[in-house]
Amino acid sequence: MAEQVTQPAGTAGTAGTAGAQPAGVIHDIGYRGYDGPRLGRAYAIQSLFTQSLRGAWGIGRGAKAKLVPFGMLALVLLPALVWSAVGNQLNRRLVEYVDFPITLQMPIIIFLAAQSVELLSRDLRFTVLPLYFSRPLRRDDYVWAKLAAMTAALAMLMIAPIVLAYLVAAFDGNNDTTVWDETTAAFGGVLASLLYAVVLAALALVIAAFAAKRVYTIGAIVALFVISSVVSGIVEGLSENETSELAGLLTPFRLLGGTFAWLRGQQTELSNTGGSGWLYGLTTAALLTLCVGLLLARYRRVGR
Amino acid sequence: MSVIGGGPAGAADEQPPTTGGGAKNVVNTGGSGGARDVAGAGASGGARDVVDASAPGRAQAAVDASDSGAAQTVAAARAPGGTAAVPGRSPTGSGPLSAGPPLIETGELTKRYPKGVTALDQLTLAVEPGIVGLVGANGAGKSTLIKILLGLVPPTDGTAQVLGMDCQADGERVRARVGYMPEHDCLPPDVSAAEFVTHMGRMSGIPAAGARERAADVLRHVGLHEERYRLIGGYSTGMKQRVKLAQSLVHDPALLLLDEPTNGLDPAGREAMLVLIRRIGTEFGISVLVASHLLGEIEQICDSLVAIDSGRLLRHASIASFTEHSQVLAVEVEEGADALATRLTEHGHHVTFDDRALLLHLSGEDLYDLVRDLVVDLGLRLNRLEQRRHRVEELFADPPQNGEAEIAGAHRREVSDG
Repeated sequence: MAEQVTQPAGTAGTAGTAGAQPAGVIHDIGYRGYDGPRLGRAYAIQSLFTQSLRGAWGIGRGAKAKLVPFGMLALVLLPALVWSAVGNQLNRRLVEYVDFPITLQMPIIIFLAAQSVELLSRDLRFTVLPLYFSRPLRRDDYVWAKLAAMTAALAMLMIAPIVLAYLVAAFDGNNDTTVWDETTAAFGGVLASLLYAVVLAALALVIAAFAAKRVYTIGAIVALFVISSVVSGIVEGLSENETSELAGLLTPFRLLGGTFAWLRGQQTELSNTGGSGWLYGLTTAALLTLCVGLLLARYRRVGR
Repeated sequence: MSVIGGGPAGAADEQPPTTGGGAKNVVNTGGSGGARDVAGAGASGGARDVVDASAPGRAQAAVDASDSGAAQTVAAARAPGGTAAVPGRSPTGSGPLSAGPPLIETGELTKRYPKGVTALDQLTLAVEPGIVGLVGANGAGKSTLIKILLGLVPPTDGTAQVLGMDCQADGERVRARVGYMPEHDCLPPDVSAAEFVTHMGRMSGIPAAGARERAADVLRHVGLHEERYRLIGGYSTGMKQRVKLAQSLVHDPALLLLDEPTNGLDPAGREAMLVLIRRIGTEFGISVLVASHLLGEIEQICDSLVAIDSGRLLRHASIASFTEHSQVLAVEVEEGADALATRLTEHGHHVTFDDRALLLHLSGEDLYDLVRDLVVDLGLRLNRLEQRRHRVEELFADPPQNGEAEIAGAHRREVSDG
């Protein structure tokens, strides 16, 4: 705009061709089109995934945005290091790898709540969605990319302590267990983490997708886990042996622990499903389907 | 343009009518840079038929119009457009697009919402490339039309095509080549403009490095330089509006859909935004559909106008066709306007009132003499006698008999200028 005016009027008659402008004039190189590749929808989905994953860890944002994710990372790594180091001395595993997520659930819940809000509520609250949906990206693509990013971020958070504990345990000379034993156990923990990550991400994103206010959303997600955990504990305490095995169905972490135990065919102290493991599996499948379905449905309507 | 104060009747006579309005604007409003820019943009609307040729010809045409300094100012203002047009990116109207299918084509397009609201009612349009104004009161169906064109909302009935592609069946391909600037706020506050526009470029399928480069480019073009590294949350409304525009441009679209781009801006901000849109349409060679409820703005920057009301087409015609048939003489007297009007009517002139001014169809130069004589006869005090173009409002209220105007439906209905 200013460039237009800076041209002296005296040269106007000849200014029709480039290069006729005298020296000392601000040169506006003019608008250049884009002739490069257009990679389309798949690339857009991949970019949204990458951007969201980075966003979930606060990368590319200010220092404040990194506080929660890296703070929670520290809170899961520290206990893992202690368990592993102490376990080496006692010559046994204090906490099974598959039980890491359930044991470390508080920092995981906080990460989940804060970062699902970061991923979804932000676009809802500032009505950024029309900018996405006026591009080749489809509404479902947006959901899948966000779900994948949250799953990946959560998986990283849960797998990191397992890797740390594994490294400490496996390569310590005092330990009687073989590296192979340790590896298979840790691998089980990684698989469990992936299951936790997918289902927890879907669950938290559904809540984030329906609430635009940051504080409420975080509160709602934390409340869901805390309250359900308390309810589950009460039910377990009140009921007889057989029904107490079903109490785990009422709270997400125990539900997932039970499901993984059923899939693996091996229960631990923290994932005691009795004979009804199949019920845990079924509930998990139903919960996941419900959450993903709700998410997709929500994003078919929102942001028009 | 009604900003012109007391332009002598003679000034208009020296110049061909098409360029006259524009050049005169420059003379009278040349005081401030911003106003001059807009005047220049306005001039091109009128002079379009003359200047659509090559760039040197364009500058020359303006000089030919008058040998006063005014025309040179016009030429200077237009010159960047001319230079940009040389390397392949033709100005609108003569670009490669005009050879193909129409920019936008709708056939009996109807949209009814579940609650019984009819947003669009059998709208049939064929819009050629250029800067197209979409005017109508709030709720006339402008936003709905834009969303249908983007393929975001399915029409209840009828067809819509953009750049020769069906908006429903080919929505993805349409969206890849179209830029959209929504009416409402749509920017997250906690990222920088550079980062956000880059991200939106990637969402349009541009690889990361290219997207970064494009983002820097378009942000510079919309007037954000070093500020682009600051967080959007700290921006003024005007700057935010520019970021919204930049994100719609980042993938070098063939068509821009702008929904009320001057919303919430102060007068200076409005003017700057309008100049920018005009530049996008001319220098950048990108066709623009700009929706607005402010007809005065549309008039300044558009090549053609589509007016809709209650989802129906009121009128669709080029601005140039309006100006050709719309020479108007405005007469303002202190008292006794009614008496003057009566006498003028007796002389066979159709008189309309616009606020305090009497408006006459400028049939010939002897009209000036007649008005002068009548004013003297009646002993009135003449405050203003000026030649001006019809304001668009009046054009919609009283369309010309000929020209390329398609007239549909209730054309006498007023579209309010908020």
